[in-house]
Amino acid sequence: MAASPDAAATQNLREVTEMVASRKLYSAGFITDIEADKVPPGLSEDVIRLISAKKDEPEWLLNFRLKAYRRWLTMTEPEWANVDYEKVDYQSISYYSQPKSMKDGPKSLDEVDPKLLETYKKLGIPLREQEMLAGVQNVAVDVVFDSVSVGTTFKKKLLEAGVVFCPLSEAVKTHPELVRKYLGSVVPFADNFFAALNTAVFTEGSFVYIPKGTRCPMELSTYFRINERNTGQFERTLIIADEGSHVSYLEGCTAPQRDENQLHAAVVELVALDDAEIKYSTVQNWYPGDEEGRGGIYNFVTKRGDCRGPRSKISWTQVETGSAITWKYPSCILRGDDSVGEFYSVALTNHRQQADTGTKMIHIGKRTKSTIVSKGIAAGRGQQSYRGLVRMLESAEGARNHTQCDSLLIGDRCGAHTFPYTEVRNPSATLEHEATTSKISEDQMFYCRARGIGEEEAVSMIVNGFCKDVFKELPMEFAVEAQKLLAVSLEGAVG
Amino acid sequence: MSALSPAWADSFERLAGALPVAEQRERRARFDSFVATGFPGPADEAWHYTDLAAQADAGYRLAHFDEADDALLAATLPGSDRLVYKNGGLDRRHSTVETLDGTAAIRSTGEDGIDALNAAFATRGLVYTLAANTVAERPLQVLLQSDTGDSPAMLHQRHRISLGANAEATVLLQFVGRGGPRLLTHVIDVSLAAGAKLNLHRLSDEGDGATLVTRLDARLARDARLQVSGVSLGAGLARHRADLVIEGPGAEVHATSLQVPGAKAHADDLVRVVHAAPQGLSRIVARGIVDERAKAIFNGRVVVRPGAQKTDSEQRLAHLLLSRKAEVNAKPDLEIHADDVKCAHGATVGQLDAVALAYLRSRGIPLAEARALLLRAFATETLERLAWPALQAQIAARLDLPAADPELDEVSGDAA
Amino acid sequence: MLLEITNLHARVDEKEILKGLNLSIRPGEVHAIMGPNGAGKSTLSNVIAGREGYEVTDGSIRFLGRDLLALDPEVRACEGIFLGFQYPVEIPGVSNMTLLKAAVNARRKHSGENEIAPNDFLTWVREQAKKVRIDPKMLSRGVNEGFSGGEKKRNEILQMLVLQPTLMILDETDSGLDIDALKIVSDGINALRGPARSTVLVTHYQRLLDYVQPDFVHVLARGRIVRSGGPELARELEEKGYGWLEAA
Repeated sequence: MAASPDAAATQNLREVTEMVASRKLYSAGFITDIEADKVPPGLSEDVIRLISAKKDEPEWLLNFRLKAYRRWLTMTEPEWANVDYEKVDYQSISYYSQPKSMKDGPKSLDEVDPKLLETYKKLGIPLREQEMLAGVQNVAVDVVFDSVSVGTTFKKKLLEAGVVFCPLSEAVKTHPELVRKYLGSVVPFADNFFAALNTAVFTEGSFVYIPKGTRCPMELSTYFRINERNTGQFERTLIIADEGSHVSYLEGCTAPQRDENQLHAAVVELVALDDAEIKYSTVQNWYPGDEEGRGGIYNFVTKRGDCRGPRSKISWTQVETGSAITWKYPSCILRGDDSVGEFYSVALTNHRQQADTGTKMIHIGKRTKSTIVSKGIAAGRGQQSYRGLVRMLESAEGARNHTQCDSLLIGDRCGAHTFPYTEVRNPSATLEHEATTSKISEDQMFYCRARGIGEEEAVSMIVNGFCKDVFKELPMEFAVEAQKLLAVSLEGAVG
Repeated sequence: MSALSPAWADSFERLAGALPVAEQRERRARFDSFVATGFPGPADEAWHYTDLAAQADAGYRLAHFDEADDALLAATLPGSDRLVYKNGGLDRRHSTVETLDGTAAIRSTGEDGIDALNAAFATRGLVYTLAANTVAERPLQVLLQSDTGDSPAMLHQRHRISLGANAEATVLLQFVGRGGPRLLTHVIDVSLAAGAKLNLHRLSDEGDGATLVTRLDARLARDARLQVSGVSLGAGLARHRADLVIEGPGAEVHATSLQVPGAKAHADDLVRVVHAAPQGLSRIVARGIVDERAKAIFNGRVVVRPGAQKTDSEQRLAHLLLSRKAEVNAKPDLEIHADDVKCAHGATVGQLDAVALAYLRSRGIPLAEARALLLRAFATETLERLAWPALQAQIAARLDLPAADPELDEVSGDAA
Repeated sequence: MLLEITNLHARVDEKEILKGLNLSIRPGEVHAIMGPNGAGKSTLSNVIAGREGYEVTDGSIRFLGRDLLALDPEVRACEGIFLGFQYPVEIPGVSNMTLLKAAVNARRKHSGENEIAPNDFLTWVREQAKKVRIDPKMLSRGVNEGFSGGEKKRNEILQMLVLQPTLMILDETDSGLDIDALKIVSDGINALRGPARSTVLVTHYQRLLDYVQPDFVHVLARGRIVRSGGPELARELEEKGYGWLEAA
């Protein structure tokens, strides 16, 4: 531990005490009194109280955080994943960081620091243009920068449809009953080490509520970016699709280049009620570290969807090309009869990247159905593991699962691994798992080159072909972006 | 880890007291390691679905062998050599090849508590060495019986099979028994020199009260071929682990497994094939028929080490789950560190094909018989690997499956 | 009467397919049931054979005076009903010989006879296989395993020849057959024709009827028999199609 945290903790404590005192007198505006834009590194109950106070949270939410924190202290970091990394020093991370110009909170996009908007533009999310070109590119975007949401576009149009799409911290105030009812109902506060940590310190994320019988009029999208040095990002997303509703949600992630490792421990909870459908797509391009494995994001994420109502459907699609270490299993609890869970994944590890990713499909309801398509690509010295669980409980009469799990190896120093757990307890359930491993053959390469296609392009072409089944599940704009990302991520993989 | 009851130390001291000092020291180190590690359970990935924690307090004492007791618990197979043990002791009367009884050296490493336990306590067993270029004339049936009476008992044996270059042999390890609660551990060490061929069959058919744990370690040199066929029937808990390492180029491993655990039985197979040399071939085929309250676990794992190029590996797991209270856990793992390889695996869990069943019934075949025919067909791929008709017939009869009817094939024979 | 179907209503997956079908067949007769796709032809075959999933909601089927619907499918088969399937299933691991032997013995047991002697059985099967030109080698393979479409249909006829049923129902047995195979199949059916044995040919086309002359032709449409006649009706259908019947 560094020398400063004790002093920092004292400072935090004083701030919190003052804040709690001032809060009684002035219920609004106190946040402008806070000097610190970034909470000093370290984690304690005081830091949690500080985060909660900065966000002006109700008592129940603070208690929820503290309960999770106390449990987290008793938990140990999981070691079963097939990844090897230097453990995180949780006391060296700053658990809250807010861009300076944001501290008053933007009222509209016009108030957002132009530099921030410029950053997003570089990332390919032209917020302003989107608003202006409404209807052309029909995507509403919420952007989370370090720990704070910088603006949600298309609010008006969504509001007309009755759709709530806003930062979670805002939803806590505007829709407290929904947040209280569903937050932590899919991923319990003590679900796992990283989920408990997230619950204790989560700072931002998106909240979506689609009312009964509503088809969300546009794609919803969130971009996450870690910018500040030595910060962790602990966002939390909650999506509720009420009866008969439908929503497609896109999530993009990036981080700048840094030498040290940064932690990203998000929690995403999806709830689909009767006949509702949620499609959740991710393109994850956190900084993967350099060729020797220095730096890069630790991406330890808990994503879970609950098909709570009959005939509901949750579909996860992910393209994972970034992060130094990935630990991520977007899952579906198929509770409602006839509910459907899907997982489509492309994960690529190049250089020294390591990924242990897959899904869990828990079949509880009758005639529940799940499909898993996983494409793992390992290049350089990358290590790629698919880890999946398909569990069919005694109640899952007539349940079905099909899993296809393919690995592609590029070069002889990488590794591709498959660990599928299948557990069946109902004699009418059917489960099929298929896996293959291949490499890009010399014949394929030669064929492409004989037609005048360069080596890198040929590889990228063949890899894209390998991933086709997953890309076709992505919304169009994302599919294009995903293909470009793969090409970039594969640079230097051959030769 | 749960604290071990003093009964363990007591049993160990009794055994150790009679041993030479050097061996005593060696075994004590193993015993200490067992005490430190304890029994494995779900926290250990290799024991994800099988928890032996309760074994610690079972109060086992080393089983006693009574030379006068020569009741055989299984049929002998005609045309084969025999080595018969009961409660860890050699039954000379029924053995035809006493000379194969011996004491195998303790392996240098033990990975879990059970390995350490076996190393601390293990006594005599099969020591089968075949010189280069020798082909065993007859298959060898090794009968490993437990007959322990009502009080909790344990027995631990270790066995070794080593075949010289181009030697060939067929060995059956058959586990059968009766009695009260009993813990039976067996470690089998196999080494195959270049070009050697071993058919190693394992038939476990223990009775109620048994916890049978075996571990097979095999190393294959260049172009060696190992066929391991395991059949798990009977009651109690049976855990069989096989670690098969291809150390020389061009070696082949064929591991087949048939799991048909009895009413409340628990069958756990772990087959791990390590390709540590190029041009190796491995096939894992597992079938399971799981009914009533039985539980079947099959974990196949193929590991391709860096440099093991041109590996050709396939893994096929299929289980039939026939009852609401039964359970199947299948896990076909792949761990690949080389790119020029052909590796595939698949797993299915399902039921008898309803369409096939309806077809057979439409031809007048009663439901029960139609089911038996389909079950037999399902098990065929694994049964046929037992290229030993007498053994095949014994297992089919034991499972109430229709026996293969060679007469029926005459129709084609005549035409040819 | 060999088979008497009265006011038969049946449904599959909640959908009513047969809506009051009547049909009487006397011993020795050959009946052809024709009709457009989706009329319920295959449903009728499957209901007679007792396939699961086909629910009879009203009406009756009597076979040689007995209530057929009360019997399990294997009992119906042992009583002498044979269904030649449109899409015969493959059963890997169960050889054709095993199937035939089990079926022959189940039938003998049903009628109180002893199991067939192995030599008699082999001789019998070999004789029948010759009739449908099935290489005996194929019989030690799994049931229909890897058989071509034509081989599967010939194999159905072989089973029929071996089992000597009283009522043969052939569901689109002619579909997908080339002319040689069609001839073999027809010869097989004709070989079994006799005064005590009846045949139901379920077919979409006239083609098979050129080789197996029917005594009666029925048109099945919208779940019931809409028209019956002699062989000339089949030719009429061949010329005019089914459209004019739908309109009627």
